[in-house]
Amino acid sequence: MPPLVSVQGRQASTALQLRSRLALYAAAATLLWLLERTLPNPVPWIRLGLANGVTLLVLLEHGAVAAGIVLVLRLLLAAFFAGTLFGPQSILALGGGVASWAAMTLAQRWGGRLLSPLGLSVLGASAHGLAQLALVATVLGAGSGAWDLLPLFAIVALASGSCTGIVVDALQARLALARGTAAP
Amino acid sequence: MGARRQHAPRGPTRRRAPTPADCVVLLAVAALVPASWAWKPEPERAAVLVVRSADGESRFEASQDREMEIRGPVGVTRLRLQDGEAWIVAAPCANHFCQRLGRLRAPGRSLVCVPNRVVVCFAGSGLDVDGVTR
Repeated sequence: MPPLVSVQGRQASTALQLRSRLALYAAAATLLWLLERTLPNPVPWIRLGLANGVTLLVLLEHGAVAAGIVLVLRLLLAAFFAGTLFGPQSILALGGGVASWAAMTLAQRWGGRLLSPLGLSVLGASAHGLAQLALVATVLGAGSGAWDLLPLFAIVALASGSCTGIVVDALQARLALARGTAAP
Repeated sequence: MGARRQHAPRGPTRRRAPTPADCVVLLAVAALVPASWAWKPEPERAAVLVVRSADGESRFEASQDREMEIRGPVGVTRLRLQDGEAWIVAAPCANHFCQRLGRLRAPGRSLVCVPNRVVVCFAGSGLDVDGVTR
């Protein structure tokens, strides 16, 4: 059976190893999301987005399909453990997560050699915030004032996307180093 | 397998942050902040103000500024309509809760003075939800 996703590195040379790795990524993303949820946040739905960093790392290391699988697993698990499955919060998280994944995937495909994880992460965080605002504005109506939060969301996307991008950049460098030392 | 590994632009070749393209992305998102502050969608103004009191229901053009006196069982409630906004400026009741309700700007909310049996709202459909919780 051909592999579902492209495999990089000797450690993930089989489909089973890749699945195990994706499961670990999903678990890490869920844990990060749940830990982040305990942090105080003045405005609902605004988060640091460390879990999105895992999506980006998987996108860069294993491709878009693998990142999509990890994203969906994380969304389901996090919503299940937080008790918000099928609630408004999980719908917003789904919209934001899918938008972020799509933006980062397209940006990587079209400008993959131009953008580093930093740029991809900021794009993903921006798409995440925009999608959530669009969802809120759609549900509550144009007069709800949801778009008034756009400057705040842009600032948060810039800050959180940069932080996450720098972390992913460093993680990718460590992974590359590990691969390099493992290679003959 | 070797060929498969090399076709994707991933791995250590990507570590170049921040690239010029990254800077463009960062500047574009940063530019979104003042741009979104400058661009504000014009709020939808209601056309008709509806006043319900013990005497019945009255309707007023929301575009015409005016101050009106509404008579009720307790006394006179004074309502001001200005620039498409309506608010109660004086109430004969004891607590004056209705004066603290703020200004009406769009359909969906109402100003209510229970003791004087006055309800003021803009005609039209408002929000379908009362509020959102986390």
